[in-house]
Amino acid sequence: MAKRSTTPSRAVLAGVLLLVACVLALAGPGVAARLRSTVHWALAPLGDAGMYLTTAVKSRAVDRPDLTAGQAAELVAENRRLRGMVTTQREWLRRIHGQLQGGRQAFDRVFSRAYGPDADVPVRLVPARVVAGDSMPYGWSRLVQAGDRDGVEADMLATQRLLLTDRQKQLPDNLAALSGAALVGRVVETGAFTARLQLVTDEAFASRAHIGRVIDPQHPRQVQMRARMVPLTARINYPVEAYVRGDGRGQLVCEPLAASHNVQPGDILQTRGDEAMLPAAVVIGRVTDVSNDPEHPGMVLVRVEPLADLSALREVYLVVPRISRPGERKGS
Amino acid sequence: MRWVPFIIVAYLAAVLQASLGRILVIERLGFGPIGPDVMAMVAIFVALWVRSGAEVIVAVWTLGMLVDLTTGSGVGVTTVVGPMTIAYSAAAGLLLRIREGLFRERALPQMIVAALFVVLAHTIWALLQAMLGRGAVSFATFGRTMLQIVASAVYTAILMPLMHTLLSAVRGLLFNAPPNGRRRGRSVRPGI
Repeated sequence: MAKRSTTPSRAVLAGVLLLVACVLALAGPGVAARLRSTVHWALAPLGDAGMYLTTAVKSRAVDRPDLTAGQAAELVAENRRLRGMVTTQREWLRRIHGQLQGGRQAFDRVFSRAYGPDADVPVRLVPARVVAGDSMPYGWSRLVQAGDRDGVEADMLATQRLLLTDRQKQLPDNLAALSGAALVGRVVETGAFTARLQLVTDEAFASRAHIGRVIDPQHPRQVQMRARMVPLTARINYPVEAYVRGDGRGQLVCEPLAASHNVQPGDILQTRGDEAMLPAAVVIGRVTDVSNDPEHPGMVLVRVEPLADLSALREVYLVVPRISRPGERKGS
Repeated sequence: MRWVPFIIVAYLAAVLQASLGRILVIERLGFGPIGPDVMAMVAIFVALWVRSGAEVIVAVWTLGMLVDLTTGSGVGVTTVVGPMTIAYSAAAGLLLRIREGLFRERALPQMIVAALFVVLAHTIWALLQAMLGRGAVSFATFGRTMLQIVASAVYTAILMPLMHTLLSAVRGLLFNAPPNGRRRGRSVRPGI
């Protein structure tokens, strides 16, 4: 009698494996997140080197105007002049404000909150490095090397980490100033050592935000104030409320806004500054296009280009709030 | 099939696709980013050259699972683990049926197979993610994703001959014995 083979047939094997895959798929995103976080650590060591090269190449691929030494010197001089004007204006504002309100102490507190070091903002900034992207090219997310053990949790926000320097030589240690310059995304999954960032351009990213309208004396604009159009001035330049989401194509789009706000290209999209996850106004991007909404007369569609170069994103700050979040018990 | 070298190659391919391979991703297109699917290329190579169908299915299932575990975004708000495993397995199953009629050493058949494999696998993945992932997916979004899939399939097809050449260099490391041409059926085991 012929001995029966114990090797499973191709059909049986395929059936069992497909069954496992189906069970995992039906288990849902929660189980998927836990499974991913258990293997992400394996990507980090080699992925870090790969992302170093990737971000180096991508950052060179961005179109930047080539400056001559003369142009650079002119820009530096203009920058210095503008900075001086800003300082003068700030001083003037401070004086006027103090005179009007008589509350210099209150003003200093607000001023310090706006321009002071991060100690004034109740958050802890966790530095992290991007070590991998997605396997599939269709989404916008990144894996960063900081996780539960650093206090990082889902829904926390992330900013770009920039090195600010005007020196052309390599900087010695302890001289560099690091700045969280722009919002880049939100944490959606965390493991012990890694976390997954959903970038602001991902279709699933959505957030409330403010649009700050830039006042340009060369191009004055009219906005609606109590049923009449008036020129936009600093006194009435209140931030425009917006609900913004990623478009999956490298930009963000705002839910239709009233045309009477007269938002224009060049205006700044920033976080609200009053949210528990990020209690400071951080720039997200710059308005690049404003067009009439064909479905809603009197409304406009606003497109925003992220300020950070997300394709070359390498270093980020994860923002860990120091104050308890809504619905969270103290000490939990 | 030698499984330890295969696992190492699969791991390296997964890391390559998620990190260094991002250099090849084109993000500034009107319909969204596109990029080559390195894991699909490895899956096609395995499906073309490994004689045992059962081994092909296990290998391709592993590659699909690695893609699922290293992808956190895409169609839908949050993606689930499993759809690419199913998609790769289905596409490889189809390839197993037609591989005997292919000139697998030639570049053109490799490119055509790569394009069809990616279109089929990624479409199944997108459909399953849209159904099982968290969040609603509009028809416009799905249509745009299909454009990305077709463009990525063309991109993968262009790079497939190069990847095939690279993997051919380590074929002796991956397979127990040189594959036996166009012969079909299970390998003969001594004593059975």
